[in-house]
Amino acid sequence: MDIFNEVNWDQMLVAIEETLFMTLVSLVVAVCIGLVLGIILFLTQEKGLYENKLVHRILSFVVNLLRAVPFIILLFIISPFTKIIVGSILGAKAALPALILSSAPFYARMCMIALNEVDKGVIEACLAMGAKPSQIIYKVLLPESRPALISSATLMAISLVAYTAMAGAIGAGGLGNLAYMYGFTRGNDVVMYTATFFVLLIVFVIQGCGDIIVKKVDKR
Amino acid sequence: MLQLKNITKTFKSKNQVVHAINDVSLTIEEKEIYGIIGYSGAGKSTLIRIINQLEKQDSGSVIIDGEDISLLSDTKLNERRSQIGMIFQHFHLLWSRTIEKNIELPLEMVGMNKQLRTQRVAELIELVGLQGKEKAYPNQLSGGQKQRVAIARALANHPKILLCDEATSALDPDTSNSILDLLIDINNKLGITIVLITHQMEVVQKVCHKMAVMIDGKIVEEGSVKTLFEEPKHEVTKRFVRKLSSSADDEKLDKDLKLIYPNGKLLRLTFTETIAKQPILSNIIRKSEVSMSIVHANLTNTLLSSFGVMYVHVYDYDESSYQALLNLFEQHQVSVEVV
Repeated sequence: MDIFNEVNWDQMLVAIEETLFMTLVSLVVAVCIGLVLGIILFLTQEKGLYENKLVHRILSFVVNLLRAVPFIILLFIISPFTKIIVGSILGAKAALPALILSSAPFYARMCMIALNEVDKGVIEACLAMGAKPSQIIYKVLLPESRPALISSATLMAISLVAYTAMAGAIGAGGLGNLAYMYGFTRGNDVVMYTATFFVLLIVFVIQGCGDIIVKKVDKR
Repeated sequence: MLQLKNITKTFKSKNQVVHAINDVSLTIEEKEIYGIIGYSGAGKSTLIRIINQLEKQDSGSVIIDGEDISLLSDTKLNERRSQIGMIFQHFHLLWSRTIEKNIELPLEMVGMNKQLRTQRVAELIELVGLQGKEKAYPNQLSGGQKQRVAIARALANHPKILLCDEATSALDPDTSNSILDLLIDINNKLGITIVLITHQMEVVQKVCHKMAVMIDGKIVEEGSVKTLFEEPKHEVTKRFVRKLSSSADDEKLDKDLKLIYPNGKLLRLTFTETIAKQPILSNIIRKSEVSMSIVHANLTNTLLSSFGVMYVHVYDYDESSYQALLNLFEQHQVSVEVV
């Protein structure tokens, strides 16, 4: 166990904490924003409940655009903006705007797909009951698409972990930062592999939790 | 009273215009069970959706109790819709809700308080006979049970009209019958007007008071079920009626044929699948001295086989040639019964 003496465990704990912080905060915010955008995309699409070509096209374009920009480039491009709202371009908090900006559009698209998979007949049945569109969203669409929404969120959480590592490499802290700055550049393999191990552990835990929740809510 | 006046509806796709509904007018009286029958593509699904305005017609009016509901604002229309129940071929239940929650949904939509909702759900569960299944999820139920849930849900807000869109088409005959019995029961007990569309004559025959036959977006014949069954005028109506009676028992046929041909002998020949494709009859007629005529025949063709029953009337024969004839049939593996 002597080789682990090379690992500064306090530093490792801080790094784990930072990675979890970045992942969870950006996940929650991105899911909220993504849900709203996804619902708007769903409602305004052709033959949607509030069909509106203009809104749909503009939103669709923005969503596609943000998804198309590689994350590492997005980090640089929005750094002036990050500096204004966070006050710094370094540290875990500074990574949040880029993480959210790249994942919310992804979730919006996944959300639209999930909502489109809800049985059209069920929506028709609810319209026939005299349901208002808002009731259809809260009482029908969201509950009926819950498994897909949760598994997309799981998927996104995992790619967020990867993104935090990328952001970490350029100064956002977390396990990616540790693996790169203290592990790779200083030739300290033990630190590098230990940090990687924790990244993998986080990913597996997220996937496991996601699967369990999906199984629990899916009554089909 | 429900009235459709001069309804038309067309669907336009890239290179064609489909007249789904072509100037349809109907009057459906209160407490009536009204069936609209037609082949798929006849426009009946569109028509029933126009009644609750899930589809908007291009022209014409939908008048329920003196009010043209196609002119209402969305809010008013939603209020009226809660007074029109609807059930579907594929039930359309929410898989994410238990049975009682599914039935509760329309009550939530109209903003009823929790206590009244629970009470009403219990009544409905009893009405459709699903006691004990309250906490189950739809995927734990059979098709017939799912349709019962859908019926309970449709009746939740005490509607005056119940629309049934091919409600029994996805069910096996027994289950289908029990659902139809339930509809009759509901009509008797609650006095609800029922409008149903179907492609099955059995359904109309079993439950409807009045019926209309729809082809290519038009109503071609309308009237009481009794009249249309006894004196169908339009070719398609006749076809529907005939389809139903062809399965009627052979005994009646035997009796009828005997009345028509009191002399000579009536033979029922049964051709099995393997021999039905061979020219047996012409062979036999050529070889036999007996005069015979075909008086009734019914050949059933399936994708890969055909088999059938034929009635022949034999007359003007002597005993030996008659025996020879029977032998010939036996040689050709045709089974013969004397009627």
